[in-house]
Amino acid sequence: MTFLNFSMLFGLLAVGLPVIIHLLTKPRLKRMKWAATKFLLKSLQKNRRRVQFEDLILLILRCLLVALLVLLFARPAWLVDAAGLQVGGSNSTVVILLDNSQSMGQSNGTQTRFEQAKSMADGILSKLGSGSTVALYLVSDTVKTLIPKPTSDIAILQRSLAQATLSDRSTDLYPGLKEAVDLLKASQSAHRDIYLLTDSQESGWKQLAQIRQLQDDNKADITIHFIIIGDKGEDNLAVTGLQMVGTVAAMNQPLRCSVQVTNYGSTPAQRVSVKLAIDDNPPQDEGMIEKIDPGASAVVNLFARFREPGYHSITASIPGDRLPADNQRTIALLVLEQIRALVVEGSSNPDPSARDGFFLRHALVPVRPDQVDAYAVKVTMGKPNDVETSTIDQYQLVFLSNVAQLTPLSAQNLQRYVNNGGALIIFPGPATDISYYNSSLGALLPAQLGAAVDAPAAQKFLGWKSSGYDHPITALWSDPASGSLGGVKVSKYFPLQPKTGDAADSTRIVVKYANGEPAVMEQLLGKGKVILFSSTATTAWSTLPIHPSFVPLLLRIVAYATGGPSGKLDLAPGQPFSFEIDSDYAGKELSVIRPGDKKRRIVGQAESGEHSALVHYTDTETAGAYQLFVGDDPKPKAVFAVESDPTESNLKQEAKDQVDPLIAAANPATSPDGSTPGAAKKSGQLVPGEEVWYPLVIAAILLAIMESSLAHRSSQSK
Amino acid sequence: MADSESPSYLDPLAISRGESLGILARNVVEGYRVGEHRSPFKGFAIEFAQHREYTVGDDPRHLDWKVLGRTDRYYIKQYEQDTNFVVHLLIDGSESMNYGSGKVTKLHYAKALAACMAYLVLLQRDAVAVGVFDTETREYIQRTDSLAKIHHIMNRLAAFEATQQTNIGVAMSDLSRIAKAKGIVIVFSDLYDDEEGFERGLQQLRFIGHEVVVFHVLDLQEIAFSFTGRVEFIGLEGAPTLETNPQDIRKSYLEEMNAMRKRMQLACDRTGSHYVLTNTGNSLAETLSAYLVFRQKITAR
Repeated sequence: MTFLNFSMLFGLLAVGLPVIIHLLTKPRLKRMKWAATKFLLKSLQKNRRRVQFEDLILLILRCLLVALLVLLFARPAWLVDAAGLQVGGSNSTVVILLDNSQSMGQSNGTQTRFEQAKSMADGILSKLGSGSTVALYLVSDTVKTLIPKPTSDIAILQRSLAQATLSDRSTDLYPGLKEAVDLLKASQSAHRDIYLLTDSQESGWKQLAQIRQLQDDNKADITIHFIIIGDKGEDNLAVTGLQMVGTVAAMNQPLRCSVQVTNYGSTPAQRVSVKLAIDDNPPQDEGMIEKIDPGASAVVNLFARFREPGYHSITASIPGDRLPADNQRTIALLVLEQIRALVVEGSSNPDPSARDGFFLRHALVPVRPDQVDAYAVKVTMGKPNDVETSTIDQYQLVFLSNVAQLTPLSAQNLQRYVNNGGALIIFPGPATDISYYNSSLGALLPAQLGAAVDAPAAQKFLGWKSSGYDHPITALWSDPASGSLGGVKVSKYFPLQPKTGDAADSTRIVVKYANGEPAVMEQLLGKGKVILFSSTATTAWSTLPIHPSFVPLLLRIVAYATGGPSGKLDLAPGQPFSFEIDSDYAGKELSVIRPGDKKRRIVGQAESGEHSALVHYTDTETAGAYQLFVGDDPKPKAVFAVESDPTESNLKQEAKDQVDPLIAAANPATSPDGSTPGAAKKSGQLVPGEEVWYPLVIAAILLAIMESSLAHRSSQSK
Repeated sequence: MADSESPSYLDPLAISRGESLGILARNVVEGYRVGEHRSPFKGFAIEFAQHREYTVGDDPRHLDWKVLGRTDRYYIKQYEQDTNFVVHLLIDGSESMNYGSGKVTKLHYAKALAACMAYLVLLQRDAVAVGVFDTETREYIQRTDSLAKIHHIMNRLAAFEATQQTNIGVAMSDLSRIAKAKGIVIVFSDLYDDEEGFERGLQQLRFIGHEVVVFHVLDLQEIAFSFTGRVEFIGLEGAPTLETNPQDIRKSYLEEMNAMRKRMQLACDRTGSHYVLTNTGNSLAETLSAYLVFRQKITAR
């Protein structure tokens, strides 16, 4: 037996307190003459011994009570052999970290890793000594606290554990461990333990060095138990990518989708069937991948066709395996009935091929003449005066090519058009009056136009940067397999001078020149977008119109400009979704159909914003399509998709030689090499073990009851 | 001094209640003058009682001539004669009677009660005799039926101070020798004495034919014993001094006290005497009227 708060034992001097109190509070003696002395004498003779005995017992009880209280404050604990010290004794403080990342959904055929982890956590709870307190966290790439502060209420813990659910998040074990260590540092408990139950997926240990450091730094006070579920990761085939390829989503327009399937197993996957479905409908298209080698990916292109405009989801799926969550992948998109574009030419030229909008007109409708009517994008050619009226509101896109100036009315109209959600794409040219543009259209432009300069004389041409793009329009070309923008050359261009200050926040570079100067810039304005090129849409100054990337670039611009609320329909798990709707919807009920659900679930109401209503939804832990409804409208106001991180599909466990030392440090007796790791306490050394407060408290309560009943009895007449 | 003290013994309220109730002897007592009490001796005075046949030796003056004339038989007329009685008031004057938890000691209370009794007795033209005793009879006021003597009685009572121990048996024996004629003996005492001697004294008085009434005078604290804190009890009548926590022994003390009261009551019951527990915490009027009501009830039987 030892005491964790040894100095409190000086309090044992207080045992004499009852005697001192008795002496100090001894009642003053009253004197009086008394006639019936003989009865007093008889009573005294009869009671003296009993009264003295009771007084003595009372004094002993009071002294014992004081001594017990002092002992309690001194925190007595049993001395135990360090090697045999078992965590989870009574009065332990424990944090259970339950990995709920997507990979924990892998099944061994009967149970998922997550179900196994929950059972094991339940087992830990049942083995903990009375008086122990437990906190419960779910860890993935974030930390979700189910029981944030340690509690001894086993019922609440078990209920929370039973209600814990998987997410489709990726894994990072360090933040959860760090948070648990910080919590336990504040605890005064003699035993502080962390139990991490995980499938030990390789990607979860991306901060292995920090985890090792964390364990080393706190090994004296906190024991971290790593409990690995499963011997190895299951073989897994996953849909790791789904995207629309080089076209726009319009009604009755075949939409090409690229589906990537990756084999994370140890054997080749043969004849993998890939299906593509729209919304909750049966698959529209199906493809077959003959063979995917272990660790390799394969892509199949499938087509989707939409019968109705509006928000839709596309889901690519493969046959089921041990991890169902990644056997499908969903994206969301806005399908337009028809995309109308107005191409405004600055000058008129009798030669159609020499007109400012020639290349744009053909690139926007890249189909045979007999298919033009059926094509989703309709192009109208116009003059600068055409943008003066509100008729431009019927177009989703307005292109200005080599337009010298606009009338003030046109400038105002364009400003309004963009603010209301229109897309304005500007190609300057030889006729462009940059002083007019910079002064009258300055608010619209993402950058100021500098005076036209020729390409450096030595090279004759200035090329576009070939890679390193992160803008949605050009991100495709960051992958060399998709071609390169580096082949686009300009002989003359207007240097773009990006805005500074607050105005720069809404601007972004879309394409850069090889010398680092911006070649194309974008500005978000109101609900719309303005994309400013620095060179021509004709071959006068630039090779872009005749470059193979011109058509896909324009299609991507069209898709980007018409792709719904700021193109943010595809989210990562946990990422909140918000978009603006008409202000009329403010205050109306917001309901959602979540992935796998059939019925709407009311989740709140549309919030009122400055000029519009705002829909906000945050519960996006599960991958799949989410349909948001506002009010009684039977059609979804928006559909968005949550896509899990493809790396989460790789179920390979972290190498044993990396993880085993961490496990051994927590359990010295199970050290794989039989030696005692440095973090372990040595055998034979006696260390404070379980605190002995429970019996002392019981004894103190019993003594207090005895003392008060005896004192009460003594105060009664005898 | 005696004159100034005498009015304090006569509680006006007690006297007024006593007057309305009167002192009624439970038994028919032998009197020496006409009073309010019936004499057992049938005489020839005022009130006709019954006829009986004439026998030789009867005074012919008492022959009922009317009956003789109508029936030619000799009948003697008998009359009922009222008589007065003597009330002996015997007060315990031992030192233990000096105890009083309030302003009034038991002795003071007993003196006042006795004075009221004496006044009431004299008021209805009966005779009263007063004795104060401790180990022997210390004061004895011869019997008198003069109301004017009440002041004398009170002065003598006031002058008495208690200093000695008790021997109630001796005092009762003394009285039985002095008071040969049947009457009422009223004893005021705390009875902290030899219990056998007390019962013997009762027997002697009852043997003569006295009606005996015992007022067991006790202080409120002697009955309730509700002291708190630590107390040093200084014994009276040579008893030792004791220091104790009264609450520690209260239950036991009350048991002893109640047992003593019960024994005294039994002794009274055995000798055909009346036992009246008198708490000095009660007013004189309350005590006196309660006793007189009780007395009226049993006299009416």
